[in-house]
Amino acid sequence: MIGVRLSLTGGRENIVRTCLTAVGVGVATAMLLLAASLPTILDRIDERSTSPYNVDGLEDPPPGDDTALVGGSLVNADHRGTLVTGWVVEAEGERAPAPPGVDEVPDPGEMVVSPALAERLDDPENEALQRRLDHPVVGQIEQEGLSGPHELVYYLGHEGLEHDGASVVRLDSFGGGGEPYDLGGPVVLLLGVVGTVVMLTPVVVFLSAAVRFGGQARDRRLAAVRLMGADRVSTRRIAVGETLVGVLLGMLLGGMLFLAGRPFAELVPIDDGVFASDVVPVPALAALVLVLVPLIALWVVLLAVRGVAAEPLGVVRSAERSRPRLWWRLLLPVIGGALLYAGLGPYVFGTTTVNWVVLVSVGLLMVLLGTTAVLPWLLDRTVRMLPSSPLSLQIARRRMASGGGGPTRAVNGIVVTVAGAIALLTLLNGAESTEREGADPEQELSVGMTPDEDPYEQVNLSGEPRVGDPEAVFESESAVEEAVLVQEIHAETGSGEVGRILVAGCASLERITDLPPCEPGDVFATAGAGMEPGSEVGIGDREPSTPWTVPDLTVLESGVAGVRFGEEALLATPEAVAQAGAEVDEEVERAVLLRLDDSHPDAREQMLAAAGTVDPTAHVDPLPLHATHSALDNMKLMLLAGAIACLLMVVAGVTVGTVEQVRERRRVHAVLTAFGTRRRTLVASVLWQTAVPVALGVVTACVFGLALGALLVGAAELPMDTDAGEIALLVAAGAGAVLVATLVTVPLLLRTMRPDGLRSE
Amino acid sequence: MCIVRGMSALGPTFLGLLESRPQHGYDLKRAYDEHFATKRPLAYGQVYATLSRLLKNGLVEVAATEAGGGPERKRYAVTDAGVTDVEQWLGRPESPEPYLQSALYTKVVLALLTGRPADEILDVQRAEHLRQMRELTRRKADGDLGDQLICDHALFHLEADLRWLELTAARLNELSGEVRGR
Amino acid sequence: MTQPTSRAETVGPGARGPLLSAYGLSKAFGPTQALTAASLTLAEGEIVALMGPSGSGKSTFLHCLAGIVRPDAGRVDYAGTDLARAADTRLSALRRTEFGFLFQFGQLVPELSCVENVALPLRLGGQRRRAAEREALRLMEHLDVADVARRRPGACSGGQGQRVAAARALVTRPRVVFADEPTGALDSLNGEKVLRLLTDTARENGSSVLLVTHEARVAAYADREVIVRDGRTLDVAGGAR
Repeated sequence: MIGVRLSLTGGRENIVRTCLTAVGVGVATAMLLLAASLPTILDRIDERSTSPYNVDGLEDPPPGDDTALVGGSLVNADHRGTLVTGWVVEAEGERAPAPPGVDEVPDPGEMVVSPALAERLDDPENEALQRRLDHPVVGQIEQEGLSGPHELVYYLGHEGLEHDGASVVRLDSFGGGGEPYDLGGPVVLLLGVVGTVVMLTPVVVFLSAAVRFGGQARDRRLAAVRLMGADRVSTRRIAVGETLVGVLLGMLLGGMLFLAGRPFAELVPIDDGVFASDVVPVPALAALVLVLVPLIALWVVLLAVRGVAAEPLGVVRSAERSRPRLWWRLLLPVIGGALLYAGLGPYVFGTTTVNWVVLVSVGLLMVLLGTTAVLPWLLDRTVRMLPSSPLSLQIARRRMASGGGGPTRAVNGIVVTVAGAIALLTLLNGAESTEREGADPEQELSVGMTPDEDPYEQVNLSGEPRVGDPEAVFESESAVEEAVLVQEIHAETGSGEVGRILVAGCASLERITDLPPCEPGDVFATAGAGMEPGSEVGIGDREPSTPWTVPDLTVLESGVAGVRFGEEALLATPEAVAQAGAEVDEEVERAVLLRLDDSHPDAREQMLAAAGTVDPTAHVDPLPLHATHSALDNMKLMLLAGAIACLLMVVAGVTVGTVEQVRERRRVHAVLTAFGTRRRTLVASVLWQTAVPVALGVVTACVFGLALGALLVGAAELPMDTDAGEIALLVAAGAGAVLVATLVTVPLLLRTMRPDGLRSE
Repeated sequence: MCIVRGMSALGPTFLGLLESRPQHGYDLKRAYDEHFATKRPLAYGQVYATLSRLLKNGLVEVAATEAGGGPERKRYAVTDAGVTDVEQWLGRPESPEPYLQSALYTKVVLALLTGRPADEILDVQRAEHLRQMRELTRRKADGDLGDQLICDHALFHLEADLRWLELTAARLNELSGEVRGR
Repeated sequence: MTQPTSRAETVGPGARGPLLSAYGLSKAFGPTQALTAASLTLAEGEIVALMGPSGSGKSTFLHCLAGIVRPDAGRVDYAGTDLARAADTRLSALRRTEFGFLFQFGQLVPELSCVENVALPLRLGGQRRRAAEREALRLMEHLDVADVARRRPGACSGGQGQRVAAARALVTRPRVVFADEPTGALDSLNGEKVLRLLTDTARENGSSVLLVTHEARVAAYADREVIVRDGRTLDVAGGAR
């Protein structure tokens, strides 16, 4: 085919153009393949990320030589903000099951760790972590035992675990009754759908831009081909053939990019990460990509060629373009909105009867692409209203008016990306604020205080301390100001509220707060303890609870100076509780109350190190919510990363377009220079030409994005919670991207302003 | 500059002028000067010599002879044979004449043969040509359409000469080699 | 029309002292020596044709004279400034205010209407849009292209386009108009028309014109010619001998 030959042999420019198209199509193909891999990735993570705990309500198996005991180790611990999942395991016989990814249950005192944790343990900077997990490492957990390459897990061999069916369970196999990967219901699924569509739409826009690279040169070439006697049909065929080479090369490149990029997937710091071997496209989706990419490419080319009648003696643009009309351009977003509304309506959303996911995806796609259809109309209107002064604006105005879809095409990618990202952000923020507000403090925290204000930490010991004097171990850490060992009992009042009783000798109690004279048998109540003297409460975690009559107590005033470990607790001497019975004394939990020097950067690390030394099966307070990266935060990060990637693609597209335009008008620029045009006038005209469509595009994107966000949030019954800062960031990134792309071309522009352009060709 | 060259053209031109109406010799001369002569007016002798030749050949006849004080006696009219002659003359292609360059060519060859700088001859000739062309261009600006056509005719011829000059100038080395080698 | 005949004869070279003069200009583009010791003087109101075969360096010569290209050696004196050494901003300002330009093709900004194109140099000089376009329209009437004022250059014939370009070159009443093969892309009739209007208007304005051409018929519109050959100017010009 002539087209094929032209694209490969037609001189340096043709080859460059083919390469650009190939790179663009390649990037787009790779992105689409990555998206096609998402279901596999989620499936595989789902398969592996099972908790050893049974949640299916089955009884634990009886003890035997094929069972093992499993409990949590340093529950809620993290390392510098990343959750560290620790398990203690104890084999009950020869044939005890090994945890997933591990050959056999480690011997007591030894541990197997995940590669990511091993790496951290090897780092001399993590001295506190090494002290926390000061056990010989006898092996690493294989991939099948990990949800992702970044997961921090360890299994610590232990002795003397006591089966209680709750914190220590008995298993005959790991993972069998595992916790299914929680998609979190329709809202999270909705997030996923919106996210995927939002990220893929710019890819499609970029793909169509990539196919148009070098369009003007192509038009001229087609005119030459017409001169040689090709008819319209064969001209079109040549155009298609020419593009097809770039597209096919691009798909090949895309495949290679995808394969080459897979190892880098492991570097993505989201959640536990993704194993490269999990990034496998679903065959059906991959096939769809392979079919869709060339189809879109061909469609775009034919559309582009149709607008330009390549006549034998030159390129004739359909001279007077009809002005863009609004009504059909609004059709797309309106139908999309209707689909969204239908899909998200109360009868369909979240049910399984109708495939609301499809409705929502298609609706979203239509609304997003609809924004790009509205843009040319808006630009046409705006350009007409712009003043003709200064001169640079006049030139830019006329170019925009005559350029047709050109100037907006470059901006389309930005509009789609920014609009989609804003919609998604709105949805995310809505979801996030419910998560924060709806968070049950009891469930999150063992101390009845809001985590943000809590200056105290508490380590709950589940077994006997391994050391004689836990307080001394904690206080040997430089960041621990004070450590008090107490017993903690939960008491349920008649009205069903749960209060907290801290039990310790007078000496310890006096360290908790300033007390009036204390004698064994005394009880004190801090503000908000919620237990009246004489009332009967049930204490202990066992069913049924042990009844205990609250004795006479001394009420401490709220806000008394010297309350060092919080209020809302009854402080009791052991003698006062002893009346309830010996069994209570036996089962109460020991806890270490800690006051940390918050200014010390390693305070939490040191506390965890001491906790690990005192009792590897201890529970610690989780990091306050705002310090962790929740799943939503990760999605937000992903979204921003995706948006930036999209914008980068847009920058590439815009740069190519501008370069092409600048080269096209080399001669006009040279003549203008001869007339003494100032550089800044020309540079300004090029900037205007980009800035106006970008500004419009960004405004359109904000309007559509917020409307879309509101629609989604409303459907999911989430509060509307927009973050002006984030929107501003996206808008700035979008606008900045185009400005950067334009500025990149300024040197070239200045070069065309040299008189070389005057020398006749 | 004589635009209509040679006597061969004068006869048919007169016949053509007479075709519209019979005229005196004096009117003929005036009409001719107005339309065709650009430099020198036609001499009376030439007018009457031509008319008597046409009369002899039966291409014109005397339509009327008037008595009176003026020099003019006879009014001439074209005959049918005369009309046929004009038509034949108009229909016959002029043989393109390779005229001026013969002299200039001789000069150039001679200069080369005698070792004189031939390009100076060409430069002088070019300057002269251009001077004439400027003059014609100026006259063209002041004249009516007829003048413009006449001047353009001359300008194109002069331009053709100049093209030859340029070509010769560019190939002077080649030419000198050939001339000396002979 | 006008009375150029008498005027051209009174305005000879040096009659009013040179407005623009160049001495010993040379310029090389890479290994190609485009110009070697070229010299020229242009008197006020004088129309000079720069003639020579293609590739002889006449366009480069024009670019040097107009301050578009900086020569490697030599000087270009214009109104007390050596254009070969003047700062870029000064050159731009000169080109904007005192020079006008007319090229063979591709010189009109395709997106601007014809009248906007003509008004461009005025607006570059800081005139307001309305005033500039009024002025442009007046000149376009004179050049017989007022009827295409609102059209785009692409919708004009070649001759119309070139007359629009001529109007643009003349609109600032420049002291020197540089015309590089202004009729190169036109047929004889349109070429003549453009040249007539250009030279007549220039004479009316008292502008000097430097006319680069390889055609003798075009050069005949000038007061005298300067021949460029192989990057050199020949000093036989003007029919002095």
